[in-house]
Amino acid sequence: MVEAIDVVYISLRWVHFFGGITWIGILYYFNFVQVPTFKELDGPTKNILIPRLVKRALFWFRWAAVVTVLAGWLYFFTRYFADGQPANITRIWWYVSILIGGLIGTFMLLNVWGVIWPNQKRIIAATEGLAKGKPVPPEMAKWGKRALIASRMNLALSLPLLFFMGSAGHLPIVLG
Amino acid sequence: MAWGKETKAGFGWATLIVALFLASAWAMVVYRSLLLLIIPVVGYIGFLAWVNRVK
Repeated sequence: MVEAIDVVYISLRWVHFFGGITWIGILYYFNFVQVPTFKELDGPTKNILIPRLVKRALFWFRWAAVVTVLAGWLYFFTRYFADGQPANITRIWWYVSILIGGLIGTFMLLNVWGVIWPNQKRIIAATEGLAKGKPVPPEMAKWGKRALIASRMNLALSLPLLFFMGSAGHLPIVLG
Repeated sequence: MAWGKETKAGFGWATLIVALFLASAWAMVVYRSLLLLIIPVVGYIGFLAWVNRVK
């Protein structure tokens, strides 16, 4: 028989997966498609795309990150308080693995809201200002570098994040 | 994907953070304290301080 708590678990996991696919999918789009493509474009073309394409992609990117992390932590703590102390090494590893993956994901969320979005927001505002005849701020290159470093860091962190999340229920079995 | 300065910096910091996570996981097992998760948190604060000084 299905218990109410199982419906809560399934719902939270579904939201977590939906948000995570959206977030990390757009992260990979930025790193593998948009950044190299923008290097090939001229200034006027970029000025058309930044306030439209980039602004829209960043909206889904940053809010999907919030949904993913919130649903993930809610699932983790609901499970922890419902299950009680883990009884065996397989369950202990599950909590350690999910905890490490969750903290890596939280650092990635902080990179999105603390570094990538604040700097990209300035770049979008400057590009929109350019269309109204305002000069390009001298700090524009610096903002782009900071956002790109944090984006590359998130790209790299997504690999161990997926390992710890994906292996949580399997690694103790694999290692015997 | 070109391995520019930003890529190297981002991947370098990610490697350091993961290394600190592994060190803290080992220390948590040995010393049985969740407080040791502070190790990667300090490393990440270091990244935030550094990245906001990039020119």
